[in-house]
Amino acid sequence: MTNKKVLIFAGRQHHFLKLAWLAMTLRQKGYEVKWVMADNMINIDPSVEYMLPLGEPFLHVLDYLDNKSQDWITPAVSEMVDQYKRSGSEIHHYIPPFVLVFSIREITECVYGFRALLSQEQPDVVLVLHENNFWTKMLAYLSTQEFRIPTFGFQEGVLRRRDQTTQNKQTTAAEYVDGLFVWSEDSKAQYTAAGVVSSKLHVVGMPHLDVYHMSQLDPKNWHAAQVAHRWSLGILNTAGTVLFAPPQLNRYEGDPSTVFRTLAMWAVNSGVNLVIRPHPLESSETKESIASMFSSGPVVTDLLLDGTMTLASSDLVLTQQSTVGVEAISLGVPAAEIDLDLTGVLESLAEQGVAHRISGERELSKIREILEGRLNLDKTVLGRWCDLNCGVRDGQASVRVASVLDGVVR
Amino acid sequence: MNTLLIASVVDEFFLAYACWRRSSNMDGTFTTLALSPDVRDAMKAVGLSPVFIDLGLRVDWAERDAAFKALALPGKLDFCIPSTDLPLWKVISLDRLSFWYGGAMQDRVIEFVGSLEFDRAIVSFDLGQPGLWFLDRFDLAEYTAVGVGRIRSRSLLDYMPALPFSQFVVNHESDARFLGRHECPCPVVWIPWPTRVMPPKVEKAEREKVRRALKITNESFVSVVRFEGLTEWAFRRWLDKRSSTIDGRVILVVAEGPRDRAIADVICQSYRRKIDLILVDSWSVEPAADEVVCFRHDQDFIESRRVKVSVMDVMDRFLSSRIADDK
Repeated sequence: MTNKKVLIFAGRQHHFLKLAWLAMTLRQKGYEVKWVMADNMINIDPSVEYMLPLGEPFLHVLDYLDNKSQDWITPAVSEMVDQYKRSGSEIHHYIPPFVLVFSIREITECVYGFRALLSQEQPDVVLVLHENNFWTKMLAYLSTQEFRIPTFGFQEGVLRRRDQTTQNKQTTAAEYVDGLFVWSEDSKAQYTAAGVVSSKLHVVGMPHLDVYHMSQLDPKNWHAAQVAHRWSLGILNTAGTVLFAPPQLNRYEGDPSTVFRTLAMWAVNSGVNLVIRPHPLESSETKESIASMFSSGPVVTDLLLDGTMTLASSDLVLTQQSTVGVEAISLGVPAAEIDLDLTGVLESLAEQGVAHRISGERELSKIREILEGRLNLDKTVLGRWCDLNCGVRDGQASVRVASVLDGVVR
Repeated sequence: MNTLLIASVVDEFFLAYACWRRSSNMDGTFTTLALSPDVRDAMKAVGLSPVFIDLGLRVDWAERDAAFKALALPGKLDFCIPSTDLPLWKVISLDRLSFWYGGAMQDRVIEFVGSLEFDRAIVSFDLGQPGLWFLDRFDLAEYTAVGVGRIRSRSLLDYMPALPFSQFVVNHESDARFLGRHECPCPVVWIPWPTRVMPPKVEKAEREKVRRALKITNESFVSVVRFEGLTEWAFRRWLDKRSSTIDGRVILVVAEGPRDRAIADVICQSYRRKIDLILVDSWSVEPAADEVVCFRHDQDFIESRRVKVSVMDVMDRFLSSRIADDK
């Protein structure tokens, strides 16, 4: 048993959802785990809204401001606005100045607050879901560069070539953290190719899917859990269940205003259950609007906190989002990329032979063929790809993370 | 001289100023653009006949990401956050600015405006509207911002040194003083304009009637508290303080709009066992109040109240002391 103190940043709900099982694993090993929270710009979705009902122990960065904080924050904001003006940048031609200046002030508050928090709390380890984030870049920097606190991040999703080419995202994911927990050997190779030193990289699998991978080791009980979950969504028949998990609608390739009705009509006419799962970062209004349209019969909307069990209980997942597709493949659920408007899907899984492709409304009939086992992917290709990209799926990824942290000495 | 006027919000003073400028524009063309259908309709109603800019382009994400890289990764944001050697762009660009980046759509707006002939520009002052802030790329004889509503805010204070205007027109004397006191980089012009009618004070009978309806005794001290997501942290700290003080006060929390209401509901749940607290969605309860509490100075809000307002801006996060200073 250890008595190490771990702080995990969870300023957004998905940070918590992806690291909650790891937090439980660490607590079982005797770690003291606390979550770190922050406001989120104008706070239309404050992090405490999800955290307070959970009753989890958390520290809010603003609680570490003090009576002297404004003496540093306001001059620091002025200095950056002056520098911005002198730089001749044209960012304000494309982005409202409010966003720029509000974010600059938020940064100064976080730098001040994180410094005080790390100084007062003296954690042994800091964890962030990933470093390419507004708050976690600052936290990882301060934690490692100023306080020398061992700090680790995680591979958050699928590694897209485009993200590395245009935004250098894989390189910057491990700029300040001491270590990065990645899904697979292939992920490690991609990070290494992006310039991350291999000693920083720890191949552990997908910690956020541990609880599902572990449950799948007992097929009989797993099947019962899937049925129970579908019942909880209102799906009481034995017809196939298809999950539609689109990306955020402003990133949907095609016309997002017609896709829901097209799929719903098809499901009603085909006798297939359709579950619509809006992207977790979609606004509450959008989610509720979708839910109000599709809430009964064979078409229902899933607004649960975490959609992974719905994903794992489906017979097919329709998506354009590669992370959902890869999670589906990792859980043994067939995935299909949907491209009703024939706009093309970037970095397609179908092109790698591990997902189906539904191009245009005419090909919706493929769904039935997949559900009935008449249209299948090459299992050898799929298995090899899954091993390479998803890593070990034994439900022990969090244990492997904990083993690395056990060896960390501050 | 040709004039271009761009409007982003419906505002009586702005429309009056626009009409006056057009009527006094004797020496050239006067072109007006509206950035939303509401604004277009309001401008049409006063005879301004604006062009409505609405370019619903399909986004090519690969192209957009590449353009954003040139602008902000690092672009000219490679200076460091004070007291660190962490460049600003590493924090702000990917996970904040990129969400608001207008990309090709904004390029089309800029291209369209650039194709017009104008030497003078007049815009409504709106820090949150990207369609108004690119005019500093043109060589203009005049670039006027017109204050709409009460302009004082923390973000204006912070952005003050970077304001690109040659003139700032406001309709409140106190706003003119505020701009002058905080080193507005351009001349400020105050044009007196009838301000809003102050709401009537609460009479005793009305106070008692509302309290009766809420089952609150006349002897109780009632705080009516404004909830906004923006000031959620200060709100929670205030409730923490109240829950550790036994003063028998009744707290009415007003959360307007479904989103704020949902957030306030979650937060209030954890205090309901300790404090006598009622969550409502309308200011119709205000007459019951002995005080109204809010957590940042908001001039429009304060001027709309019928009961004395206490601004509890913890650590002066929103610079309320500077924004409220009206001397």
